[in-house]
Amino acid sequence: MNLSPLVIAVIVIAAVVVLVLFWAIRTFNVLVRQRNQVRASWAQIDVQLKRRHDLVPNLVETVRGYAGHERATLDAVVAARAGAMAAGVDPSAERRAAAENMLTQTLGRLFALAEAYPDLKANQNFLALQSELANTEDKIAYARQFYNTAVQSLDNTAHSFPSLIVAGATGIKPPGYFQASGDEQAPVQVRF
Amino acid sequence: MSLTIAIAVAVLATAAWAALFGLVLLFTRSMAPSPAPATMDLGPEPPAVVNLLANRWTRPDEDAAEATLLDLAGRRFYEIRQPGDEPVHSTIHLPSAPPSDAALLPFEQRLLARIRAAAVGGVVPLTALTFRDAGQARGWRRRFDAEVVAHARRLGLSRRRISKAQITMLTVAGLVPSLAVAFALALLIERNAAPEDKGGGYASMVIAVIVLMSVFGYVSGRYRGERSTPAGRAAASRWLGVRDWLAGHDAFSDLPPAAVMVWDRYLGYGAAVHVAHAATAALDLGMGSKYLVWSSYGGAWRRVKVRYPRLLDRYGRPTKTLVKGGVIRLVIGAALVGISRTLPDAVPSEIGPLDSSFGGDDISTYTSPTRLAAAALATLFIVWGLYRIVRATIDHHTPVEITGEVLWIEVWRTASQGEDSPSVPWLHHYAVDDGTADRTVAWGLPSEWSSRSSPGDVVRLRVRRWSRRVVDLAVVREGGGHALHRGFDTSDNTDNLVLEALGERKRPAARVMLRDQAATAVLPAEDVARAVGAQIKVREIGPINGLYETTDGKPVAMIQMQRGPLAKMWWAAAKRGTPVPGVGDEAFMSETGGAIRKGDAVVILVLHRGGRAAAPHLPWLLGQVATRL
Repeated sequence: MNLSPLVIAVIVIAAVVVLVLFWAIRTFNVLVRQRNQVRASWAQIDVQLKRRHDLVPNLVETVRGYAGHERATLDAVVAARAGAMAAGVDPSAERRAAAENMLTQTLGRLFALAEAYPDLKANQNFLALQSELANTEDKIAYARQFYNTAVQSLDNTAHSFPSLIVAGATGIKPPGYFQASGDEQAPVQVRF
Repeated sequence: MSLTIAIAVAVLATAAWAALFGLVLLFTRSMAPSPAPATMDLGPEPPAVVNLLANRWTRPDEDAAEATLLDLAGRRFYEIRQPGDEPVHSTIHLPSAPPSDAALLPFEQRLLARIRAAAVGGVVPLTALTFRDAGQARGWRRRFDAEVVAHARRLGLSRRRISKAQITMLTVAGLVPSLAVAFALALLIERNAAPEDKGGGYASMVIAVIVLMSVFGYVSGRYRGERSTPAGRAAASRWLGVRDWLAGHDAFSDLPPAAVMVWDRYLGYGAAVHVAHAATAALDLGMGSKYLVWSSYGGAWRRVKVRYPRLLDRYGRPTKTLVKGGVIRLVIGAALVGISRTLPDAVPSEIGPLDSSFGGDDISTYTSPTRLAAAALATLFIVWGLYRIVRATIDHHTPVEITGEVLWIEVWRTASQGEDSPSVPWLHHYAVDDGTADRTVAWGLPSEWSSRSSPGDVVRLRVRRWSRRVVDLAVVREGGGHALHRGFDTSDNTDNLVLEALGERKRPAARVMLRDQAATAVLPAEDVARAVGAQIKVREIGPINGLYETTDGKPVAMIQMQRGPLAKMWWAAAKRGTPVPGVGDEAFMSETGGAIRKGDAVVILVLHRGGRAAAPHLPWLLGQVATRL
């Protein structure tokens, strides 16, 4: 069977188009999977941060029972918690991270304050809250690592050639990293 | 009853039992539970147990030990550092003040002990944790796996795949095919028996039933891995969720072992559920390569390339054999000289005389090519023989002493014992790093000394360089792994090891190989079998005597062991015959047996008439005894 040059050219072009289409679909699926992983990782951070927010009022009330006159520190913690909860609806990871870092810093001051009150330090409820908060801080740290790893993978795909074409066309963009504050980058986030 | 019907019944009964057994296997399979939603929350189970669950309760795989290694690093029992780009170049650094290991699980302690034993100056390369002895590797892995399985059972996450009740049921059910097969056999024997031998077939039926019942019992009771429990399935489902979470992070599979400092326990669990590919690829806790071996001789870790000479016949041979070989070559050379003289010395005349105008002789007067070849061959053999004798003599009188770390020991040459008998090793390859170069060539070690040292020991050798034969060996310092592997019983089965780990079975005293060992523990039946060239079984006669017999009950050898003051009296009576240097503290042998003393222990080995074939291998047998004392 003899094929005319035109038919051959059409077949070749069609094959190339099919291949490009196949590649574009595959790349898109990779980007979607990575974006979902970022969202799932963010959800894990969200769960842990909410847990921390829930622990703060109990902690403040317990401290108030022993050091009620340390109003400035206690108010700062309450305000930082309110700020962090308000930032919870903000889709920007950077702004949320800043609000959470503020809460971490005020909690650090609160625990530093507790050093001066031996009765408070011996209180079982306070100790349990300390332990729970430390555990939550650990989980936040790991969740942040997972989130940042997921963002990095999406970032790599979305900014590499030729997958950046598909990312640009479909509007899939990596969100910002969840950065730890300077204090938080120390080995232990909450020191008791 | 007709023989055909009896055989048909036997076949049917056996098939029915096999079907029953198949059903038991089918219903005790552990199915993989459906994964829980992907989560990053780790559970309380250690990574090795998680590995067992992730493997559908079959048994822990090699990733279990590697996951435990990473997990211990994540818990700061040591640090993993990667100096360059290659994860395989990572090193383990033990801290000067490690956390308490009292709360560690048995298999975690086993791994930590292995790392600590291998470390030099608190450092060990990751790839230097491999074993250099297949038996040790197998024994270590079996015990590790058994301890993991035992812990999983303790947590209620796992159970024996075939329960004791099922084993009993299968064994009892095996009575039916046993009787059927034995009856068919008896019928067959009776049909073919001479009239005066009638009745013998039915007598043998009893024996056949016992043997077949044992076979059915063995098949039923053999360890076939683990089986899930409701709690185990719940835990496995949760861990599969963790696996999905970790697998969803593309970068996680590329993390090297050193990333454990950032990811803490996640990397260990990732290895346990087979998603930390790069980390597990860089780890190897199995058998190492014999060609590229880590050496810590001199205080710093180096990889030494080892070559194992095989081709040249002189390697590993004693001087006597080498001189004998030289003499044989001389004799062959002399014989060839004699033969060459008998050969015709002229070219066949049909070529005809050539022109002699060049001043030469007529070609018919030249020596024939055959004679020339014979003369050349004779010269070659004579020169070769003389060279061999001279070199062997020089080699004999110029031994050198080297000190270094034992890198590898393996069998090199064996002596055949005939068609149906196993061959007995007489020479081992013995690779030693003396610290002078990053490559070395293995020496030839007489096999009776092969168990006097282990890889990792520092030894002082007297060697002959030309023949590469070790003529004297002394252990200067035992390596760290010595104590770790002493007492390994590689013959034990997994089921018993699990029961031992659970504390439901005591380790048999004879196998512990400590001071209270039984006499037969220092010389297993397999060693005697190799020396005699026949299947051997062993029978203990009290704690100090043991009898080795052939399978048909013919006595081959008797062993006696004594320690303490009584041993001194024994030794006074036993030390006679030819001394066997280098075996134990002292050893003697004669045609009928041998005796060895090591420390306060004395072992006497008496060869019975049926075991005299082992007499040439007495030095090797005594050497084997010495290693286990």
